Amino acid sequence: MNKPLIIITSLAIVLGFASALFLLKPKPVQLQAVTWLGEQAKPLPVFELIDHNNKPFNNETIKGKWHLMFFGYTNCPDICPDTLTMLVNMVDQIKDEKVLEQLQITFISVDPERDSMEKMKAYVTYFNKDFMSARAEIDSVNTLTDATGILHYIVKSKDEDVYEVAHSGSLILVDPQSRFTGVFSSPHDSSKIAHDLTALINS
Amino acid sequence: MKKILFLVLLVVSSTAFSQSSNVQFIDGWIKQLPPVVPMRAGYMKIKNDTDQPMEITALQSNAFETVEMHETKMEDGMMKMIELHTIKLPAQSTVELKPGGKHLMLIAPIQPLQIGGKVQVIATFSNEATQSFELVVKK
Repeated sequence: MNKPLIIITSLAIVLGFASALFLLKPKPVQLQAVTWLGEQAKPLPVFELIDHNNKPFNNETIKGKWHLMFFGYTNCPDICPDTLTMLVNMVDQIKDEKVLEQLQITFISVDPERDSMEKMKAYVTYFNKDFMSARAEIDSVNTLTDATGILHYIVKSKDEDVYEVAHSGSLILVDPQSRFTGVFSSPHDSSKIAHDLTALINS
Repeated sequence: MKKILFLVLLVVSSTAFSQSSNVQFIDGWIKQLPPVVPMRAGYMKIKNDTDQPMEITALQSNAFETVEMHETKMEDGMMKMIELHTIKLPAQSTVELKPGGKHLMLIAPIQPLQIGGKVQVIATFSNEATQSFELVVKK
């Protein structure tokens, strides 16, 4: 065999190999809004809440789906409805049915004293009939909020029944293995969240 | 003499009536919520076309037991609702009450609200003038 042929053949093999490696290498997902924990995804500690259909909402029952969790309370006329409206718009922007089937949006109360199961069900399903809600005594809720960096406290007022709850506006992303895997921080952009959820759930 | 007195009284009384606020309330709306929620948020643009700063000091409505002024603020990573005692309207400016910011807290609806329904609110200003405006209930 002559030298030029050997060189060309070797080059072709090397280039072919390199391009195969490049094409097969998983491309990094371009994320627009989420703080993605990736390899640092943390299994959630054991938590126990009840959903608005009176079923257990815990580490085991949430497995198998991606969860976007929002922490708030129903006696909040501005920011909680605004966030839930944003989530309705966000879901409308996810065109991929397969992604929607694997996603559950859940509203969790940081005001269990006033937020009964019936009240929460009426509240969250008003925005979207597929939205879920869950509640428990505040100590149980704290297991989840402490593990995901969600801050909340009751702002005392003179009237025992009239008070406000300060809380993080962040959305927590949990993967189908019930691991805490991402955070969407305020202010929220529904199209960016829709993009990121589609990218993550599809990858 | 009587004519002059009459004219003077007419001018004075018309000046008294024109002690209105000269403030425009534009695109007022209420975000509808399910009946389980005992309050609503009201939003609008408030335009002060005058050269004087104005201040809204109180609000009331016959459709709600109480009307307060609040502002949603992000502090220390948390969303908080701060009660405002006044809404300041600088001269020649528009203040916007919108979701995630300043809003009216309309507490305890007297009648159930319907989408499309209109609610009258009366604002009282620091100069004692009052002005009524409308909020439309929207989804």
